[in-house]
Amino acid sequence: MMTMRSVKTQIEHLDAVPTLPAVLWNLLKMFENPNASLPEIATFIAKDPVLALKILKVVNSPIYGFPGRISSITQALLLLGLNVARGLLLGVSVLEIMQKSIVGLWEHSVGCAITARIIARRKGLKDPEEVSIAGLLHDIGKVFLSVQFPDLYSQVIAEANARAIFVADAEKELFGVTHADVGGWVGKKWNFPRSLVEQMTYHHKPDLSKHYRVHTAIVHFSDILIRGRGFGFGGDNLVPCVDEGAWRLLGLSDGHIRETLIEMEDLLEQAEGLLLAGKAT
Amino acid sequence: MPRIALKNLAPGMQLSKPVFNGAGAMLVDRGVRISEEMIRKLDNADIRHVFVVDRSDDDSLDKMLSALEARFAQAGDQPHMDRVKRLLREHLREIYS
Repeated sequence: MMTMRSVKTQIEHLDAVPTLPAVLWNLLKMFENPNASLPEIATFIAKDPVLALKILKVVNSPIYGFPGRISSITQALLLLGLNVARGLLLGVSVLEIMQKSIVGLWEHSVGCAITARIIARRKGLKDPEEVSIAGLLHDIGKVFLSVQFPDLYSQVIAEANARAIFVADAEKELFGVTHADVGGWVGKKWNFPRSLVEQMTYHHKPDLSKHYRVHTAIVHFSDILIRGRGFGFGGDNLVPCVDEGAWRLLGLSDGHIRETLIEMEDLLEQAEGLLLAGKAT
Repeated sequence: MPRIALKNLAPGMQLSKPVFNGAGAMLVDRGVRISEEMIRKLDNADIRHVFVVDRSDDDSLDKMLSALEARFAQAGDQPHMDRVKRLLREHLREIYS
């Protein structure tokens, strides 16, 4: 087993991995500056039409559900705000490697984002976009682990499926840490907002979240619900147990869950184009 | 799949549930075989989904439900998870039959 320190050091030097796609490398370089402004981010996106198109696709998808069509990057960035925009940029930039590392992880992530937004709105959160972006990115640690340690990570997936155990448990055996820890490190190193870091780090242990308990509980339960529905593939075919505190915090009735499931079906269907974007690559 | 988007509805398919418009009036009854003309009318009435009869239904629903059981194998006997599983089972039955 690797030591936690060595995994962490290598993840934090991810930008030295030769196979890292150029778009992601450039993005991480830009994120190293915690004060990157909105115009700087807009300029960065404008240089890459493929990236710009992907962003508009997500912004106009049921992950957000803004009324009307958003056709310019500046408009999208203004609507989302700097923090969410950074997360979204990371999300769309890893789309291709996401599908390469685990086929179905993109669908799982989009499904989780859509579910998280439905619940966030139901709970009356004033920033549902922050929760849906956390849903999209909650498993990003899996992508970074598989980029930095491709052979070991294939072994993780093989182990998880052969023994019918959770990916997180197989990760723990081989790396001493899980994708949730890795997601948190990535978030901290590249200056993501604290809410996003907490939601990524604690989506399996929402009781440890300090400042964003409701947000984290929503991502935790959305992961469970989308897995339960059998949509996408997070690396194993198992539904984890809901955390008692998160369950109580959300206080969803049978009726709430039923309505959420119905709304999920509609929005997942509407997200078809976005989901195909993952398949085409 | 029995619940399909209108754009995937083809002439000859049979409805498994009646179709109502926004005002609650029935447009087409269950059991009716769909024609080109009907698809156009449903489209004009802003209907986006319909339920159709699919011979492979029983089989695929059974498969779905057993896959659901398998996914919950590690969720233990926790009562909340039993509830979530029951709601998912009802949900799958609803949309696939």
